[in-house]
Amino acid sequence: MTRNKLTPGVFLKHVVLMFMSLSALFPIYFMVITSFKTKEEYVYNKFNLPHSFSFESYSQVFSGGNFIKWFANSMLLTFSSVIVVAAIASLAAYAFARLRFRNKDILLNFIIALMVVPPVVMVIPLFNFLVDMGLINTMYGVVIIYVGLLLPFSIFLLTSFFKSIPTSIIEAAYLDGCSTLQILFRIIIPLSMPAFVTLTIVNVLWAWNELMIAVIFLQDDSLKTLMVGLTAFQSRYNLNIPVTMAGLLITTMTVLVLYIFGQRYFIKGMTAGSVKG
Amino acid sequence: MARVVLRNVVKNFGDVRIVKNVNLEIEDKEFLVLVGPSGCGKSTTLRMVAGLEDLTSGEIIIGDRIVNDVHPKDRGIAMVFQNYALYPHMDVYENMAFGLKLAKMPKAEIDKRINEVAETLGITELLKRKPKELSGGQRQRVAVGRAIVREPDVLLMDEPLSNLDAKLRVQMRTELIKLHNRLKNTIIYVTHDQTEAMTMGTRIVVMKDGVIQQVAAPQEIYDKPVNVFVAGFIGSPTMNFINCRVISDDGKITLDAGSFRLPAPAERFTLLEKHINKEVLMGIRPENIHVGENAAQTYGDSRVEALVEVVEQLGSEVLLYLKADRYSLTVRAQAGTRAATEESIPVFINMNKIHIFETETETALF
Repeated sequence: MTRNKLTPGVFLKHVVLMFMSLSALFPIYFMVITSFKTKEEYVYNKFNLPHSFSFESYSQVFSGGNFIKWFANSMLLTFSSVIVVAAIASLAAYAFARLRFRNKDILLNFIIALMVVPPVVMVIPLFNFLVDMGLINTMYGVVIIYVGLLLPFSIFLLTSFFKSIPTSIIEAAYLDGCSTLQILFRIIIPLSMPAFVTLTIVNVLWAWNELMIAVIFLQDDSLKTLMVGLTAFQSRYNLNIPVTMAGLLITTMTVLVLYIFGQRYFIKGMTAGSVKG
Repeated sequence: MARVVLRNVVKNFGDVRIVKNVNLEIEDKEFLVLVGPSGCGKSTTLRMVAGLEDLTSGEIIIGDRIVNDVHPKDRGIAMVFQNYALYPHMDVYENMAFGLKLAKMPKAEIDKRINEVAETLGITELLKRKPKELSGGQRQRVAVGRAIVREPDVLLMDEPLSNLDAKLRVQMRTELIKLHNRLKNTIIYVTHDQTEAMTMGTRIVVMKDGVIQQVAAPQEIYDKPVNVFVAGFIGSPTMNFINCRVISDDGKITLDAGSFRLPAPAERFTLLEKHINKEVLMGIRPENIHVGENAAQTYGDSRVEALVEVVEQLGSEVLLYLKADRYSLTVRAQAGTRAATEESIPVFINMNKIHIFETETETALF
């Protein structure tokens, strides 16, 4: 092992990196310590650790049941969108990566190009569409929109990954008697787990944090998602910062746990050893 | 077990014709080797037999069925791929069982077959390992195991040894020959390595640019190549070629190479007479050019002065790379032959072993 000499350049680099890390971590630190303070303590102790850990803010968050309802709505919306996206994207990506059909590249490029369209420009057409379909103010309607918005990136990611699986493995499965769908489910998907985990995490984060579409298309109180609820929450508890922070922390922790759990699957070691390389 | 027939098989990729009207009959239990340089269409031909490529035209018959439209799993074939193509997420047992499970074979039968094949190939202790935990040679055995466990009528092998190191390749070559002797299935084996072709095949098919050049037993291909390409492709070191003019000289026929002349063997006069005063290409294998005193006595009338460029001592033999006039000659000499670089030495050609090719068509006269 060699160690870098502490030259002024290296020192400066470390200072900049430390500053950036601290500025990224500070909001989380603030959220954690504040959520364990009482409203009174927060008035005189804003940035230091709490003198005594109080769970009062958490009990206030859960009182009334709204928070749990929003949480459940977010879970339902996020996971149903992500599952539908994974199902459609894997079929589409398989076709793009492995099947031969006319204008395949043009179609794939068109789908990839859709990634750059900002959702905000589609709000009015989508609103009209959902009204016409009778899906406004329903979970189905928002799932359809989420799926539509998440598909281009998902297809792009999975297509690239599926293409990296050696053709000979797929041919071997074909000779072994696999049908096209069996090749997808028994060979390609098991070999693409790292890609699916990555995709799930990215899509869950997006759907979980999505605010604009949820605000516009889910106006009924009983259908509010956590993000929409928290916005209202913040204005209601405008003066009670510890309660707001407790709500935000629970929201953040959900996806953070998912990310930490999934991170170890990010490694792409699955195809190692199958073919000479 | 089954014979395989390819009838007028053509394959185009876009506008490019890769396989041009191939006709081939592979006998039951035969070990047939398709050999040729990269891009000659040998792998494409094999893949058409496997059902991985559609034919542009022609027919492939396995057993007594035309299989053009038969799914690969129903053709009675199995294939070993160049890069093994094992399923990385399955262990060795599952890799071997996969095809059998898809064919809905009872578990007890699958178990029995896998254990037998694993025993034969010496991979019993590897059954629970994943492909990434295996060495190259072990993966290769597993790939063969996965193919033969299905008890195919025809076993297709696409350069299965080309990823192994030299020593392992020689070892696996012998093992595959033994396996064929034991299992007696029809094997179609693709390789670009002429040594593999010569040592393994009961017959060899030499291909070039999508066209079959010659189909024959290894020794026949070596001794009687039909054209310059086959002569140059089969044999290592390769055959030496010398441009000559056929000259009639006082009732004898001589081959004039410019700075030296060589007497044609008497029994070939009839064939050569038609080519008097014409250019031909003479081919001679490295082991049929001799050096030393004994050679001078035996082949004294076909002496050529040559300059030694490189000497390779191989232990069991010596390879001499020489320059005679504008021709490069390779000579396989006995161990212990002494020669120094930049030295001029006489070499003697065994004219009874020469091959003569027409210059224009490159086909063999003899």
